[in-house]
Amino acid sequence: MRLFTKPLLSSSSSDSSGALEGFYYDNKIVKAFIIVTVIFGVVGMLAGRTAALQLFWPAANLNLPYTTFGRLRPLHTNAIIFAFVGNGMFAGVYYSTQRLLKGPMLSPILSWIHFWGWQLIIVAAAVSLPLGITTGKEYAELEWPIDIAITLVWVVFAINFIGAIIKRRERHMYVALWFYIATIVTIAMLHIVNSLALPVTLFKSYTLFAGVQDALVQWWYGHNAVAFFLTTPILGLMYYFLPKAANRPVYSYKLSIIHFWSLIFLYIWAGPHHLLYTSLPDWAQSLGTVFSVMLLAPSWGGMLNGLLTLRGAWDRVRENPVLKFFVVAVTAYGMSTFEGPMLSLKNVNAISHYTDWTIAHVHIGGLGWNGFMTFGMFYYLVPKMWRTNLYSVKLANVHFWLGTLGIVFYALPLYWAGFTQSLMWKEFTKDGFLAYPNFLETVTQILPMYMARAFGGTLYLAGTLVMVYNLMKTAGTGEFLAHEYDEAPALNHKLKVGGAFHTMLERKPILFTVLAFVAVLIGGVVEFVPTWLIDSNIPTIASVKPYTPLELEGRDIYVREGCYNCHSQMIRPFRSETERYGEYSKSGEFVYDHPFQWGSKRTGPDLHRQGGKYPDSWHYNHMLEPTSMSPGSIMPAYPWLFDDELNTTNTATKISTMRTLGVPYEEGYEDQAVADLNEQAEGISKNLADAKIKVGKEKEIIALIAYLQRMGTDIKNEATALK
Amino acid sequence: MRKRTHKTVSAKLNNIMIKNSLASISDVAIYPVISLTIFVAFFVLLGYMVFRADKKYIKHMEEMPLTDEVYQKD
Repeated sequence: MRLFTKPLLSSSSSDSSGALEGFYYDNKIVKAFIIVTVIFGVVGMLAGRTAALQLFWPAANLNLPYTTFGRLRPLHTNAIIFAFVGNGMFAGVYYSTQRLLKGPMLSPILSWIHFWGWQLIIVAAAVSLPLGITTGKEYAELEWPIDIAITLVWVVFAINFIGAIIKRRERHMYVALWFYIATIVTIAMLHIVNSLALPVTLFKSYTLFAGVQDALVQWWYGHNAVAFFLTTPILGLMYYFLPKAANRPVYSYKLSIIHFWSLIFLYIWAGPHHLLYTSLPDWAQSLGTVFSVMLLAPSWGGMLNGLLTLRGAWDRVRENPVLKFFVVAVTAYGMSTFEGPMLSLKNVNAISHYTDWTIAHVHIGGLGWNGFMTFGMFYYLVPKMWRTNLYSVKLANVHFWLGTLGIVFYALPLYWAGFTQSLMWKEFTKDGFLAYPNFLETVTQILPMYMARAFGGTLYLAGTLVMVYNLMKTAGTGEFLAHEYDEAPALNHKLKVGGAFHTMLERKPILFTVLAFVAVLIGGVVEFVPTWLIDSNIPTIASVKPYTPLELEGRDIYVREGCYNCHSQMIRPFRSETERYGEYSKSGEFVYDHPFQWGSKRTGPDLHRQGGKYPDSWHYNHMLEPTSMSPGSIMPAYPWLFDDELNTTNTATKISTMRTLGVPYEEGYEDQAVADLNEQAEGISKNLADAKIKVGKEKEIIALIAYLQRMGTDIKNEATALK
Repeated sequence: MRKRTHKTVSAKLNNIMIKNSLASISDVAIYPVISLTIFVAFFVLLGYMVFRADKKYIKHMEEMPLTDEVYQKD
């Protein structure tokens, strides 16, 4: 398919007849992104390590709401994903893009708006998440004003990047740039759709989607945030920095074309594998599984393309710390992209899901792939931009081994913990009873593994600190080159260049971007259209009613405290689960859940059938001092719920917002909501008084108890009705 | 006896749940056909594009990251 008649110019000559032009690469913006990456990396890892400590030593939360696991874990994940990997990715993107395009970014002002805007967002996240300001959707916890800011800053980044491409002096876009393009358009799409919400106040909103639909949208986002924030941009960096560090071209450019298109096309379909055996329609689950298995091919194609780039240069890996980090990073990528499809098989997922296996899997990717790619890139960039040699190769090697051992000590105990706990959950005695009916037994069993994991995390953090020292010393010995001079012939736009279809695509950035967007759009459309066409959230269950105002407020406290970080609300249709928790969860039970709270990890038991299981007094004592009801529990205490009074100033707005979202509260009910809330609170307060517990009906704990006692009970009424 | 009642209730609930969910979409059968067609077409086209790519061009592109400092002056 020759689109033009003239042949391509030879590889040795520049394919341009324009005059030679001089220009400067902006290294200052790269430097700024490197500095914040290192700072937020250390902060994010510290948050992770503190959260890890709390899992066997709950007192490590200092008994403060702000540092409790449910709020700290989102802080850790957001800091690592968006502040550490995000800033690191931007550093690499700004460095490589300018050089691959033979020119600076579109505008240094846009670069700095991007930089400071992103850092402000991170600071806003670091303040709001500990305060419990959260949407309750994993990796998308930030509230609506911050979501809007993210969108705006992302658009600035996109304009700066696409503008630079349009102004370029290099006719064709190298593969790294394609991955950056896919990242920019897909993250924009995922972020906007998943963040669609109706604000109640400046700090509170309810997602547009409910229950099953919310789950599908959330994991379409969650899975592809991994794909297009933690994978595609890093693959772009791999295609640029690995050949540079190895000083040889990528193993196969043709393979990279197949790698790129098949990866971005297949990835987007796989989201439902996070929802296997849940109430998500079965066809969607199967689609997720099938595409996840297929995803192995492009993932490994990319990994092999990276590793084989080192063919004939393996001896250099021994001496060059940059290559060492890259090799382990790409290997970790290969391991986790093999493991991912395996975890998507329903029989494997039945064992792995809700356990620490998932956490181990994620950290092979996070610590190995993302972390080590970033470290390797920095060991390359800092000496380069400061025009000096690395201060100490020895220290870089120390970092390499601390990091590698850190990953091993982190992941292996968690694999062990995951298997152990899952097998204990599923074990029956000869007489057909659960072998470990008390959930807590399966937790205390794996506490030594949690300790080992915290040790692994500490090693990894120590290695990072060694890097900080090494990079600072390197910068100290060198002289920073803020503006790097280069020359290239201007691009002659009138010159007709031949080539096959993809060659043509590589010099048509807008068409390329549109096609990449179409490729990522298809999977989402195929999944969403049938889900949305199904008549408004059916199948409905007549007895499922909206939450009372008090329960709704209680649910918001549940979301605020991040209970979903440790408790699921989704009983899978396994005998081991229905025996332990009760009737399995039905999709019709979640139709009023904005947001859904199915969770993804059971550090504690599932709570979907919690309602009515224990008296109010049990919950009261358990939330005040978990070990009083469950000796040996690692759940933190929530004393502030007993001191703080429930804020009902927004209850009416919450009700009317929910009605706008389709929850069938009667018109005008908001005026009566607070009165109803008080009446129900009075009832719970009386129940507690009967159990000799004196507590005012206005305390937050009352609302939380109301919600906990409601959970999963509607269907029991349905059962009664059917009888 | 109690278990049987429980099962019947479950079965009835399941019926409410699953029945008609996908079937309620008109012409639902067209979705998998479209999906498969797009899927196959995508990879056929991709394979064709790569197969047709110019070798000299590929070599030029491969070496791009290595040559981006050719003009650099100290």
